[in-house]
Amino acid sequence: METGSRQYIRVTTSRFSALGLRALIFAALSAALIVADYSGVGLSSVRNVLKYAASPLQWIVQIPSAAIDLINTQIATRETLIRENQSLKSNLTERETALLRFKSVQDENDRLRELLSIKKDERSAEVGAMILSVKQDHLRQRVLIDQGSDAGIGRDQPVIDRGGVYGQTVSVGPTTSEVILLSDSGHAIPVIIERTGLRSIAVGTGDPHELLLPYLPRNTDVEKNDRILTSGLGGIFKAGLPVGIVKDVKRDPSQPLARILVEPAAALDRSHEVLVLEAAPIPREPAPANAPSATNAPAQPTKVAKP
Amino acid sequence: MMTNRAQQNLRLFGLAIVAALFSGTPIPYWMDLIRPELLLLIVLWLTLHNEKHNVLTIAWIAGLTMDAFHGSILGENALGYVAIAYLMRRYYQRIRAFPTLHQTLVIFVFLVIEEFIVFWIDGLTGRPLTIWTRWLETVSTAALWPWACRYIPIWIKRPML
Repeated sequence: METGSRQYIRVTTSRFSALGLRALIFAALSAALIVADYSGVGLSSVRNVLKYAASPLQWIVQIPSAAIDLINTQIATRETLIRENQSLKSNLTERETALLRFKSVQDENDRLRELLSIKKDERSAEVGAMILSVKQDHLRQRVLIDQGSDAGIGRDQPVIDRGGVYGQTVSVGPTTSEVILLSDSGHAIPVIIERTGLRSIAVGTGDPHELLLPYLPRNTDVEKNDRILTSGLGGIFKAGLPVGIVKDVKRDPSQPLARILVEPAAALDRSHEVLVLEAAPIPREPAPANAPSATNAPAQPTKVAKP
Repeated sequence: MMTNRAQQNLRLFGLAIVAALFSGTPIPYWMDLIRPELLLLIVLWLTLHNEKHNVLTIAWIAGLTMDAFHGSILGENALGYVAIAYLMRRYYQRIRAFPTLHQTLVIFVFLVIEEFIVFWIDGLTGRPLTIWTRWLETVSTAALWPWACRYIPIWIKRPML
């Protein structure tokens, strides 16, 4: 009787230790991976291999939405097409006139800059890209685009869509790149309030329809519908790109800081096409490799930031 | 001619691929908040019902696949998956004897532990995601447990077409 129970105890403990040991080994392996990936040592090739391995899955995932798009185009009626064509045409005319105006303003701007002997804005190269409809990292605001280092894209390049600033590239594979959206809770971007010229930082909230300006005092002069632009500090985004519009200002008397909510100008959860711009050529202080770069803005303005 | 066991493994593998794909399928934002972690559910089911498989290895690979697929820190999900596969395997004989509702509650607790590990690593690596909605997926995943128990056996035991 006694031996039996002792044997029982022995068996269970030995099984536990074998299982526990294996669990420990796997936990240690995972921890090593996490540390290596976090500190960015020697894992980029592993990541690239994994990215290649995962890319067929990512292509498969976007087949349904691509198929729906295709079906929609195929069964569009004549009337819809005509209507769409008309609206596109009128849109095009509008844009063309706007572009003409823009060009003359740009020339004037260049001349004035020459007068002030400020360096000319360099027209940056840009790469158009499609967003692969793949949900990256659960609940995080990241997307994958279908262009990578083969198309000349590098890390920390600004990405915009039709409306405004969309995000920036965080890691680049040969044929795809990962873009962190403005609204990711780990993203921050140096901004300026157009009406007052006040500088601040807009951070993501995790909600694609909301950014937050958390560092402005309660009595700041900011109102609903104020336009928020990039300030050009921080060295990634050029000055004057639209970021969003203030949609709500909460001034709690018990809090020293105001809570300013901004509606992003870019359609963060709806865009299909984006443009990857060249990073603004401002010398930056060496930042730690993994830190969200937009937050480490050098304090001194190296460029006229006022749009 | 495949053996019965190989066939079952193949079916389970197919199911795991579909579950992994589901985790990346674009769906509306509100649905995304409650998107269940199907792959984790399958791993848990396997841990509970199949003592022949080396579940820790399977859990680790599944977690790593999720990390690679979703671009999170490598090893983050892998650690969470291994931790709860270990807990599940440690107590599987006891849990197997529970009625389904009771099992669901246990699974829920395990999922909260897994989510907490991921949450903790997120914080350690300087990208904390503190919105409360991140915990919703534990509820939705646990809620699917009774269906997993019912339909996974049916799927893997059905003869090949």
